[in-house]
Amino acid sequence: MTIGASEHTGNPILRVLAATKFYMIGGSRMYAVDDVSFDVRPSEILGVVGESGSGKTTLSRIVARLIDQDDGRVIFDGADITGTSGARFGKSPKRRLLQMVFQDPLASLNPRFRAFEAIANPVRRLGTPEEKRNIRDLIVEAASHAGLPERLLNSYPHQLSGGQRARVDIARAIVLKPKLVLLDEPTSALDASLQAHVIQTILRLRSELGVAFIFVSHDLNLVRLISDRLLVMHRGKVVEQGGAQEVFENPSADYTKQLISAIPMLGRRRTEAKVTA
Amino acid sequence: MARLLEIDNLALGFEGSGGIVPALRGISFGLERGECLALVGESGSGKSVTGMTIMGLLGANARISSGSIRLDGTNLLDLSEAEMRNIRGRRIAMVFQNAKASLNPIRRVGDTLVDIVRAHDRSGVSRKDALRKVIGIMGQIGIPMPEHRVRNYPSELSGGMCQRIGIAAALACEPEMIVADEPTSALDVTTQQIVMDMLISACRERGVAVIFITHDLALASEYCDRGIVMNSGRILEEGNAVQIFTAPTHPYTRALLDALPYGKTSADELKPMTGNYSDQPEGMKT
Repeated sequence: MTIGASEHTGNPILRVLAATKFYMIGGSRMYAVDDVSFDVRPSEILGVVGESGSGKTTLSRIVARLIDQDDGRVIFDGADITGTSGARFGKSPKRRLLQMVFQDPLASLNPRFRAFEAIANPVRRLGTPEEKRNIRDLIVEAASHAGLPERLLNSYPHQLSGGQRARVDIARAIVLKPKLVLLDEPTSALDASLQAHVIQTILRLRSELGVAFIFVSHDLNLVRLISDRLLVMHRGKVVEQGGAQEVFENPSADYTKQLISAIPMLGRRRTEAKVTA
Repeated sequence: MARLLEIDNLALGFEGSGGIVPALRGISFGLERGECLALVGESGSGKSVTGMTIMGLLGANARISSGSIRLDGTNLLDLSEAEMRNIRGRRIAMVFQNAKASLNPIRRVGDTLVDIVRAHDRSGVSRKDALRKVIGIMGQIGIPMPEHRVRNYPSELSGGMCQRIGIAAALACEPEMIVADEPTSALDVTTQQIVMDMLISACRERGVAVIFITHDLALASEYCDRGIVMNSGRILEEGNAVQIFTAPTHPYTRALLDALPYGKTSADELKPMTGNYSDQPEGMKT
């Protein structure tokens, strides 16, 4: 059973208040993210779903300070990081507590770094002197948490399979024991078996390390299973949010209903054969 | 009447620096006229290679070691490239995964479609008549305002609209069968439904047979008559699409279903796959 939203207590680790981001197109504003507010509590998994262009990736980039919002506030671990630009957030003590896993591990891993160096990099940049002294232990521990065999730490990304690369990316994100990890379509490029593996890894990390996750994906059928709460986005706006099971079983917004009815179903027939004589 | 397509004991590999890597290890199956057949498997299972072999689109390093692909009795593997060009498009058409990449970016989609019709039509149809035909087909398969769409460049259209144009292109030459390789994998789930409905009903109405290549078992069970499950270049299971994707008998298909979110109520039910399901050692020469 996934833990229901009500069971996550304590102050939110993340508060996003009326976040807004627009781009100027032909003299008028095109809102990529339009007045979006939500909370994430410690060790909670929030699923963010929507079609391409709905603003879900832009939203996660605002939270990670990779882009600056035009309006609204982002409060992370009790500190207002709204005014902290991407460049300065890199030096903030909060930076190590908020990590990100990107969609394509082959594109996001440095091809000239062995797995060990890829995972060591955040420690070298953001770790305490003590962590830097124990760097080998930390990396072996993170790799084991992510399900990456120790013998693969000497491999380059091109020598690893897609699933192993995804685990390097996850190990790198959790090596500094963050409080919140943003996952942007972490399983979209993976086969079914690896996808199930990554999902189990995320659930284990949540229970072992108490990490909270924001899981951004277009795959509502998968996201509903792993999330405590769901945020459904359409054209930059949140059209619905609530407990994952409630939203999936009893959607209120038309767009959510559309999204759910379009999910393929095993054994349901959409078109029947016309016998041609 | 014999089946439209008959593949018998097809085996091939790709030559690399370390020898030949097997891709298909002796597969046999047939396709009835007007039938919709799903070819399902994970990456590396050989499902796309099968489609490309039927189309005669394998790279220069492919080595076919055995088997035949018969279309109405003619073995396609015996044909020259010139003869194959008469089959491709006219008798067997293809729909690709990334429609945007398969359309010429610097030509209006109408011009591309007109070229396709004229290249395959032996009666020497004029550009004007070909354009009329293209607009007709686009309208029939549910593309809104086809007379305007033909003037667009691929970059001006959404991914779903480009895929619909790709389907119109495949249907334009009135083929007997279509190979559709993951035609909706790059699309959103709502657009996927629209494009699949359109593709399959257009083929059913015209009696065009379809080989639908996909990794999505649920999608295959919704639209196809029969299904084939592939792994490591072999066919593991074949049967009625609803039956084999809801009540499979092969352990691999069952494990694949256990790993997918369909019908599950919690993430604990998602079972990662373990073990090797092919019964012969890896790296075996075909």
